[in-house]
Amino acid sequence: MKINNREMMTNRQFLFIVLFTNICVTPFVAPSLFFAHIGHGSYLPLVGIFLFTIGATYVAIKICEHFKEENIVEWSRSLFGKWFGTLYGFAVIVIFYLWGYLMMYVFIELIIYTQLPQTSRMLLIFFILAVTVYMLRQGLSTFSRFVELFAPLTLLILVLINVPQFKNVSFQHFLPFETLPEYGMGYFHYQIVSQLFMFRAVFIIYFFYPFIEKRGKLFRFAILATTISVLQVFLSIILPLGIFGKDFVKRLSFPYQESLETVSITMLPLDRISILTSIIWQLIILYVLYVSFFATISGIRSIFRFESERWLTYSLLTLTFFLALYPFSKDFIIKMIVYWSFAGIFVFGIVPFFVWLYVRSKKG
Amino acid sequence: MKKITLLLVAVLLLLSGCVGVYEIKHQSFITAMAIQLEEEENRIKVSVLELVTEPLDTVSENSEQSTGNVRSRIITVTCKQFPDCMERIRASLSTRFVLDKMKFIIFHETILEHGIKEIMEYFFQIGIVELTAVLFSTTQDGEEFLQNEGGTTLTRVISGRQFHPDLFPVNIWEFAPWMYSDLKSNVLTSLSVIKQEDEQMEEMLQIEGLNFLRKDKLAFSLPQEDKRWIHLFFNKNKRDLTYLLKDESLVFKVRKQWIKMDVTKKRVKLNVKLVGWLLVDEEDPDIDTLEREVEKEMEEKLQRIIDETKANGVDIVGIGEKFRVKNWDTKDWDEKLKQLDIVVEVDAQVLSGFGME
Repeated sequence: MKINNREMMTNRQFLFIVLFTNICVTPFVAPSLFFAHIGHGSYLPLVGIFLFTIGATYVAIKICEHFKEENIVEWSRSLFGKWFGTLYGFAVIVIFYLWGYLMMYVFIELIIYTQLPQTSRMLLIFFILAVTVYMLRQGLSTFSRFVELFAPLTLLILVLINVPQFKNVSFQHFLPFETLPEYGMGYFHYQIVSQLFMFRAVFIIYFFYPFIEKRGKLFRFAILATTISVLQVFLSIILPLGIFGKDFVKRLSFPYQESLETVSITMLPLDRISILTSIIWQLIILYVLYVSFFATISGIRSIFRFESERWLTYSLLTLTFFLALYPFSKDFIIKMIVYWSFAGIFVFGIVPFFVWLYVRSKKG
Repeated sequence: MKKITLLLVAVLLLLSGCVGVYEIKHQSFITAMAIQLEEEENRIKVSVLELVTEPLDTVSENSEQSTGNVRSRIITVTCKQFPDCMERIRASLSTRFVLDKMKFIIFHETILEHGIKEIMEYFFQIGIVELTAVLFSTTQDGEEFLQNEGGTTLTRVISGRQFHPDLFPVNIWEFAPWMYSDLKSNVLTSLSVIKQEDEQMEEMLQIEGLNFLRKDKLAFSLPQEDKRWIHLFFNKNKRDLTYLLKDESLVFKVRKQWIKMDVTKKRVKLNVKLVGWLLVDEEDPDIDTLEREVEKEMEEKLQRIIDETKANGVDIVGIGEKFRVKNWDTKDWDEKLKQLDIVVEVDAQVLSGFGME
């Protein structure tokens, strides 16, 4: 892969990109899934998910260190052969593309449900995709600097929207701890297991690795980014649970959004801290779309040897625009996210693990 | 040329954003709602207070009124099912029906006796009501309540509720979890608004008492004279509370309080620790005697409230929740509660003025 030296990113920029894209729209989607199956034990699976992500990140970095200047699509073709490699590369592209598509879809639904019920869906999609195209055309280093510039503000707002909610939390809703194991097989429900792919943003390392300047401490930065995003998702589970209790919280479509609505701060416009969420999640969804389409475009170019990145970008985004207009049901989207997550676990968790074992054995 | 064409296409797309715009004057902001059950016909009566944003001369409703700078009108409908009432209100408005600016909902005792789960679930399902809206109850006719209230009285009280000693404000989000559990009772302040019969016809808020619910249904009403005592179990407003004791010869102002609940499977001990000032005492006994007298009288009052509520299966302090947290059996909780031995102990400390002993 040709690397443009002006497109390089620092470890810190990588950290912020992974942090925010890892958070994605998970705080709004995952909690209701957890509450439906494991009630007040909903926060426990995060431990397993976190450990899985750390393991997968370690494997990803080790593989990237071996293949150095190649992305996942390129090394899969050299490792698995032309046909299997292309098939695997194609699966990687589809998973990354669906990441952006599904998350944008969920975000649009959330925005329409909570903040802009009268706004045209087409307009929201258009604006989000237009900014994504613009950022993609500006290049990776511009995007990285942009994320870094807004990172302190975004982190500050994340603190501001979470901390006031603790005032409304009742610790009794988390008790009794001794009943947590009683959910038994609920923890292994297929929808819960699919959430192992929750912090998928770290897998962008398979495409970003050649662009990172100093790679020595990359694992530490990736773990730090994942830890902070796990903390945010953890809060998005325990705050609604602590405020509403396990019986009521499972009746809510977007528990985290509803728990945000319980805080009234008169200094803010409309007294609501939820007004801040739409601002930062606008940014976060743009980051997710950038990363998703960056990986998709890089992958397609690696397979089909496209010269013109510009027209590929425009075509892909136009296709996404029309696809996003189709009104899928919420159940269908949740099902899609579950199946897509299982595909992700296989493609980015299981396959790379065996690749790493192979690479290690070759090194001796 | 290509760029201009692209720009024009983009602008055309943006035009769709102008289609769904509603100006404020084309919106009907509902600021309050009163719901009651007309028992003879078994129909729900819903009255809403609409904030009028149109110019004066264009409004033509019979029940319109003006209070200060705020103009409002009341719309009342009756129906068999609550969602149908909402549709009827929507149909009677010429502008867009907006419920997310609603400050409070008043439930008449008739609808509380019937149960309000379906009404609350309608609000949760459609997701158009702010979870910070405050809930109250009343014995007054809903339409009359809103007529007298005029869109300002209760709103002022809600905004400054920390200054009102007897108000027990409950937001929707605080109320909702206990609608599905009988391990703790929901409590609603019962209010009415009367017009004073003087020249200015000013409206006055009256606190009627407190209503306790078992799940979504009215289970027990605490009369007006006992309403302030209940605050000793909660002191939700974090305000000073003044009590008249010893046949009104002693005035005791509670500054701080702590509640401790010791729970066993057979017996519950509620320890209420109070620190307060003595404002008036006509007899002037020594401090130890005084503290014992305060404790004794308060214990008697609180014990009576607990016994009455317990007999009605109402768990005002959430003993059932303590049982659940300890993973003890909470099946048929209202019956179990009646068997429990609940003892109230008051531990009062009397300080002289300005907190100096």
